Amino acid sequence: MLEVKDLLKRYGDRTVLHHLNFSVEKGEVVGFLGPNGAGKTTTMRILTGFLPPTSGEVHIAGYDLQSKPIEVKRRIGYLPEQPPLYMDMTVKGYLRFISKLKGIRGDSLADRIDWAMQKCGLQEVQKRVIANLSKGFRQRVGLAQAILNEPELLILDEPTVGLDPRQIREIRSLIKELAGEHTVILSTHILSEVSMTCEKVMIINEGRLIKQGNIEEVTAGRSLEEVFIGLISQDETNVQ
Amino acid sequence: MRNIIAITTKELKSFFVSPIAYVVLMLFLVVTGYLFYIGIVEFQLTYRRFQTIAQIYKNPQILENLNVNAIIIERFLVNILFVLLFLMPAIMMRSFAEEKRNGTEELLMTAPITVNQIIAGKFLGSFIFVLALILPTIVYQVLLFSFSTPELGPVVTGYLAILGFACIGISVGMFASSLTQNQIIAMVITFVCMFMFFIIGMISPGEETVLGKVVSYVSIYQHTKDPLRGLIDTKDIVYFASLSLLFIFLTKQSVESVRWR
Repeated sequence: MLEVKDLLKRYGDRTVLHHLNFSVEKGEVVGFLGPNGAGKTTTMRILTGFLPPTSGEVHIAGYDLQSKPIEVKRRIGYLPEQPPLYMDMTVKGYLRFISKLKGIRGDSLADRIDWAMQKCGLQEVQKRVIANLSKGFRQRVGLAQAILNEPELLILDEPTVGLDPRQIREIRSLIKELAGEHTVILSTHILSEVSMTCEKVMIINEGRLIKQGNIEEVTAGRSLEEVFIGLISQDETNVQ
Repeated sequence: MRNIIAITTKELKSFFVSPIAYVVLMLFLVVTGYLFYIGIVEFQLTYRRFQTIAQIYKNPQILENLNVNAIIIERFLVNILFVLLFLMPAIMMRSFAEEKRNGTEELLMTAPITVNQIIAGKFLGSFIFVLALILPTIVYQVLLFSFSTPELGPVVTGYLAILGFACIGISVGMFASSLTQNQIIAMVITFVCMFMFFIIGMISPGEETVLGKVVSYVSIYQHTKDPLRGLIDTKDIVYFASLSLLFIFLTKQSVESVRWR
């Protein structure tokens, strides 16, 4: 489904991603963990084709991201850290615009929008202007935008940041619901979120992938927090 | 093509949802309406003066030398150019700057569309908005045609020159807007750029030197002069097209430059 080979990203002299290698199978939910500034957002931006890698290869759903960006973009849904919303549009108008961008047309258009709104619990606010919505609703509109085209790969950058506990629970159950038919990569630094929603985990620190595998394997009976802190501090002493 | 239309519709909607569109529309109509009125009054004064002269010399044919095209229409169209010079920066400042500020740039760049389609869509949206701005001024021309007998040709070519000027304004505006997320900065850059193209012809060191030739080639004034009098030359068309394409090209480079860093 997703294959990343030897991914390297440099900003000038600063290397932010060091030779990442990982792959994700269809239907998996992967938690992407790391401290702030570890390179999570950069990795996700590369996977979505927003930023090009300095070197390395990315294959998504059998297409090479460098040579077939449009084919890849058609098959992904992306929720950036800051939900990309047009404040002056209504929820429904916004979703209609996104469906057109994503090439959903004709009869299926209304169905897709209704489906996404229903999944994200947006029906009651569909006629409201986005600028007047609360943060939780805005986040959900962002999520609805990402799942509109039923993407094979869903990339979510900190999908629950800034939400209240009840909303966090709703988003989590939504992600679980989507898991079967979609592949999901979500970044976060809330560790409990990963243990609750993901099967696989990847831990990144200072641009290096320091651990990946199934949650049970990685934790081996300990709590994820313990493992995470242990790995990060171990990695930092190694680097020094 | 459908992707372009999607972007164009979105642009037009966002123009008419924001108060900027209505402020610009109103300002434009008030100012051009006033300028049209001034033109008519001036024509009337000139007409009276000519009447007196005709009486003194007992030669009524002198009155036939008064040209509605030259006295009212040409000046009016030049005035529209000046008004647009001030309004284009305000119309264009949102274009890319707002996308950057809202984070929607990331949305457009990760959607299955190309940068060319985004730019074409935005260009078309702004062009249609400018058309909507200029269209009501046709009413003034209709008024003139119903009370007098001006020539139609110069009116048509004059409007074409205005649209050519608008194309340059749109491309320069898109480029300036793609450089920053601050709309005010985008507006100032567009204005300074357009103003330079406007005044550079007035400080021309003369047509003889090489520099003079270059300056007069870049000058917007030099290329609107003839069309406003009813003359269309391929070199003017080439000028409007090449300058617009240059800035569209620069816009593309600037939008894609996120990917170079």
